[in-house]
Amino acid sequence: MKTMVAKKVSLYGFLTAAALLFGYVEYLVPLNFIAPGIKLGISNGIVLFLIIKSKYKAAIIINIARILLSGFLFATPFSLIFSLTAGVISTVAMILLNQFKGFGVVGISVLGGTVHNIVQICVAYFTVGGGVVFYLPFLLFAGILAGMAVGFLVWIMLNKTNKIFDEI
Amino acid sequence: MNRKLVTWLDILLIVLFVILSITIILVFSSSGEGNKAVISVDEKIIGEYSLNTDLTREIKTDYGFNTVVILNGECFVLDADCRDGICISRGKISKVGESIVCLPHKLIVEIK
Repeated sequence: MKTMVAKKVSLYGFLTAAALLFGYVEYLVPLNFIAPGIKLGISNGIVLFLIIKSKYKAAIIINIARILLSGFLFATPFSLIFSLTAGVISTVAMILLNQFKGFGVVGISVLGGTVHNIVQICVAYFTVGGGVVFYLPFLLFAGILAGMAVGFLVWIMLNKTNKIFDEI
Repeated sequence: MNRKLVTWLDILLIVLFVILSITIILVFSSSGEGNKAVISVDEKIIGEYSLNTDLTREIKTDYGFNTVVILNGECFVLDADCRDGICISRGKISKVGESIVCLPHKLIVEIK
């Protein structure tokens, strides 16, 4: 029992650190030349990985921990509201889609990416007003592309990692 | 782990999202050139400017400053002290419905 707890703590700690690091790399390499404010969302891959492994509680906790940590480290409280709502809602959406057997890793990832961007537009709508709706199609496209890329990465990750993730 | 990489349902989902975004683009983008730029901060309109007259205006608020420029019928943000500079990289806008948004400064420039 004790080793189980230790395993969990170290593994979740590792995954949170990995997610945080991925987020930081993206913060350092902005993709603004494609469209304003676009990110790949590799750290979302960690969350998706846990969801596919049916570790829902861990997925939500690690995502919130990552967003809070990166929020305090690199962002402003204002952008924290954006990433927190979008992060939590997209995680829940991916968990819901994971209940259906017919979808693949890419499908769940694409839903996560698009829902994340839709929620951000909604939050922006309530903070700055209607003009932001114009960004929605671009962010939808970006969400689809980023979702496909991240889904592929998670697929590789699922096949490369060993059984240690199944035992916890 | 028995989940596949891509399934037909995934492709269906992606196609639906693509159709959705194309529909939104078609609904919102009227190809007509706009004739004025409306600048608002915190949802309050602080100025309307014709696109036909060149102009440079520095908008200073408690959030920071953005330099909005109208040149040759196009509007863009030349400079700003916001964290990400997304409003600057948005580039030039001139068509009805297009907008530049600076979230940190709660500033919107919209073409009408």
